Amino acid sequence: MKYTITGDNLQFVNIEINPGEVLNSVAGAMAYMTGNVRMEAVMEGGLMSGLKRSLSGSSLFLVKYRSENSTGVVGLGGSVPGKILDIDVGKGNWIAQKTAYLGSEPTVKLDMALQKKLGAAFFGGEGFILQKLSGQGMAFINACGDLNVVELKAGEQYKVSTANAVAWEETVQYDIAAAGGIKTSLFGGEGLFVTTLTGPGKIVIQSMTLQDFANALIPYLPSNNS
Amino acid sequence: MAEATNMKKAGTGKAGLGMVLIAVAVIAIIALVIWILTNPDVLAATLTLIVVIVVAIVIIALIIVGIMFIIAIPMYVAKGEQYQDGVDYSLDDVKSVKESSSEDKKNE
Repeated sequence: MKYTITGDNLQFVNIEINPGEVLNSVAGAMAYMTGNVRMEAVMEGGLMSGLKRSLSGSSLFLVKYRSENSTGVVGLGGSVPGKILDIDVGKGNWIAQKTAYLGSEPTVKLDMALQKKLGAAFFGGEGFILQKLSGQGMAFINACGDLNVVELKAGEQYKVSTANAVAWEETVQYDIAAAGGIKTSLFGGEGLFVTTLTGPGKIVIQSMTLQDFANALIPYLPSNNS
Repeated sequence: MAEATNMKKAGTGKAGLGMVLIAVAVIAIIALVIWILTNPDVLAATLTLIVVIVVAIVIIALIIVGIMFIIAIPMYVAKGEQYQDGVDYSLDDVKSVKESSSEDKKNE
């Protein structure tokens, strides 16, 4: 599947679909498509899979795109100002934050993943429910802000502000640690905990969460009184 | 005026019928709500049910917050401030996400 990711902070992923090829996307992600492409909303995997997808922040229905006997192009856009990242799921399973999944080849399986460690689920910032991408092929994820990708070697660890971990390979260990002493915890701005990501494997970190973005905008939102 | 070439049309009659059925269902729901609002006994029972559900949700949320509050400090103490000593990291390992394509991925 040929694709390009274009744009700066509100990116497109432009995907070429040849006859016989199918592209899946989350509902509402389509920004444009050529005239020879048809879209169909499908409850992929049945009702239970759809509900699990919904719980993991994706949509009950996935949208399938097919081109009619010729090559077409579909453009997907994210739902937040940020970046789109292409990940090769065939090289290893990925865990992603809720709402990260944008689209993929149909051979990629999108499922719900549960945070196994109680402490990490409560205080890691990503909650109990995450998205798991497995199978084969390319998948596209998006998140607010700019994204950094780091490939951790075995034993290497990054400490990340809670909720700023966008995605990580399944081989990466996700946990929490204390942010610091009492002064740091109370006045450091990170709260009691930071997220720890320990290699081996790739991790994706965002510069700003959607909640941070919303909080930054709140003082500037127009009100009826002003 | 230029027209798109090789155009075909797929029927949307069944989909339109489905939309009509959805519209009828919405009207039926609105009628049900109006009937509930105009019938005091049913209204009282419905409001009681809503209050019970809301209270249950609030209690569950408070229990979760309570559990988080109770386990936060023991968890903080148990986890401790972890740090690695004598391990080097490089800025070269941190790659920013920029424009890319399937060709870039093949070359990786």
